[in-house]
Amino acid sequence: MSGGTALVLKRLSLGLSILALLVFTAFPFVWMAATAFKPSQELLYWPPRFLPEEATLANVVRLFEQTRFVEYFRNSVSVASATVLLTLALATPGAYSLTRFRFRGRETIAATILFTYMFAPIMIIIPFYVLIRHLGIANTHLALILGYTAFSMPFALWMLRTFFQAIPLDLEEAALTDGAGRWRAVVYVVLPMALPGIIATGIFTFILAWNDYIFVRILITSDELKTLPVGIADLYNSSVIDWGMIMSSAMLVIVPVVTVFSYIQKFLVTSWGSGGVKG
Amino acid sequence: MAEIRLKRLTKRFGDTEVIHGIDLTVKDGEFAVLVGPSGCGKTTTLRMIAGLENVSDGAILFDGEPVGHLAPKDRDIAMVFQSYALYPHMTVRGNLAFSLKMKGVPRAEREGLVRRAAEMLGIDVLLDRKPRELSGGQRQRVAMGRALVREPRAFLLDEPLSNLDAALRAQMRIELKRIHQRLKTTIVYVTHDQIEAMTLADRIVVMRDGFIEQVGDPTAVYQAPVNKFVAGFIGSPKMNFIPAQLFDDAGALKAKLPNGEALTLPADRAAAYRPLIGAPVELGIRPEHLTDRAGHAEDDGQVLEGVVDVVEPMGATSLITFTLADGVYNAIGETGLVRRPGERLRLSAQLRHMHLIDGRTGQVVPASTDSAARHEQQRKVAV
Repeated sequence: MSGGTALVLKRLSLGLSILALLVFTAFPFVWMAATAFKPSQELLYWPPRFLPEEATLANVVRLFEQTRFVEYFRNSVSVASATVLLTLALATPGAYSLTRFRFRGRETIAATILFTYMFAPIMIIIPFYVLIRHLGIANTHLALILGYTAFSMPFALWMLRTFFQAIPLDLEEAALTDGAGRWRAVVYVVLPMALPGIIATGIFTFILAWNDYIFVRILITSDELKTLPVGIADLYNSSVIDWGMIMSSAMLVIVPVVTVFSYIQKFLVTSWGSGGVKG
Repeated sequence: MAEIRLKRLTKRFGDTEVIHGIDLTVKDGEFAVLVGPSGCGKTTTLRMIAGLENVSDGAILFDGEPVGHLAPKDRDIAMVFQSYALYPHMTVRGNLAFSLKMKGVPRAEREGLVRRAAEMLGIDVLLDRKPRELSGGQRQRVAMGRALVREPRAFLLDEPLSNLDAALRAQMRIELKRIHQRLKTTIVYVTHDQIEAMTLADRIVVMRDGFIEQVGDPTAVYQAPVNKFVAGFIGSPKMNFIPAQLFDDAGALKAKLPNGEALTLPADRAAAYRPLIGAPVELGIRPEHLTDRAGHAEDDGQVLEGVVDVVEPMGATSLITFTLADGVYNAIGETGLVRRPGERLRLSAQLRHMHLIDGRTGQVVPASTDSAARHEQQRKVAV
């Protein structure tokens, strides 16, 4: 077999593997999108059809008119955004100090933080509920935001710490000798360089808050305060399950997130590149 | 510009003392080079001057004012790092302008100063590039430019040329010297490379294990090292240290070498060296004072016999590694004279340039009472 044929075969098998993986992962999403545009009577055709015969927006219209979808969506956006802001505001200086300042017990603290991450949310949620009821903030978005922040903090700290550790100390010292105080050295040199890490941590936190079901289920009782995962799940509770509406809601949950993150991803992969320091 | 003074400067990391109370004065406008093997404390000393390390004991004074309590930003120094430490997210212009921006210099003025520094270093065409788009040499220039852009009281340079290739390093040495001649700013420069130290310094500060061994202008340190360490560290190829024993031979002072040969020491040094008769000593002779006799038929050197081990041609001359008894030493030969390994070699040793090292203390024995006084003075500066 010549080298050329081997190469073609190699590429072909690689291509086929990629295709198989792609079909496997993408099919449920495509099916969901297709269902969202099918009129009700088409949904239960046998044998099933992949594409809608007559594409319709009726499902979406029903979703907006008959449910609190828009409200859930707004709740999700505000809770997830506030969680991201609070988490980054706490984790960034926290991770920085765990990286740059020498103090007794620093490594122990760092290790303990990671340890707390090993508890599944379900284990923490009951004591957490008791705590927030004590504080008088049960059934509020604040409780959700605090819960998500607490839960994403260990990961956020560790991830940011790794990014801060990767920033050479020389750069900060150069800023200090260039006439910047510690604060300005951080703002002008450290944070811009840690930006990909901060964005990645922000995305992770956002997705955690956006997808969470269990915290909302337990901490929120009022319908108007629910976020999307619980709101959508509750669509199943009606006597007739409206698959078209559920699929269109699922699609509408994913589309904006994917759009925003495919844009932000650009910054995520833009590493500043080497060249700052030799080596 | 400033005079920098270190008084009993001490640094401890935990219980380990790494700088042991050193005293040093770098005069206003002087180019001082701290040189020594790695781990000698030269970089730590520089970082203390910059304010990047706390001072454990003693004081640092700029123009007589203690600065130990000041943050780096308030010391008005500019530092060049071995790694260059360019801000990778800023353009060259941004890198150069950063310190001016921190100082609050208005934008228009900043642009002018950046341009001036960039032109001085020939990097004005690179101003809009990011550090990752630059070669090693260009990055090094930007690092220099970042220091040159303002007029600090002192430049602190931490092995700034060690990441460059030999040719570029030689070129940058010349440029650095030119810049210093032009700006006359106080410079404290750290290097482990004694050639850099020799070529750049107004004053060399040789350090070892957290102590200053000797301070002086390059020629003085080269010609009159105070101890075996300095003698061996400064100068390339390294000085030879041949173990010997002194004895009196009918009024002439001679040194008996391990191979049984005896060399007559210069008469003018006999008085100074005589007290060491019977003590273990070493003759310190630089390779350039140990030359292939065939090339200098009628010189006045003493004859030293050895066996050729390795010959390294260096162009105009060649470096001959030879053995004498159990020791391996270096001499300078001529490229024209072909020497083969194993060949017997008659070398001419110019003993008027030799140093006698007291084997018990490692100190160089002063050649005369006059130089003894000078030695003592230099030791005082150093200790």
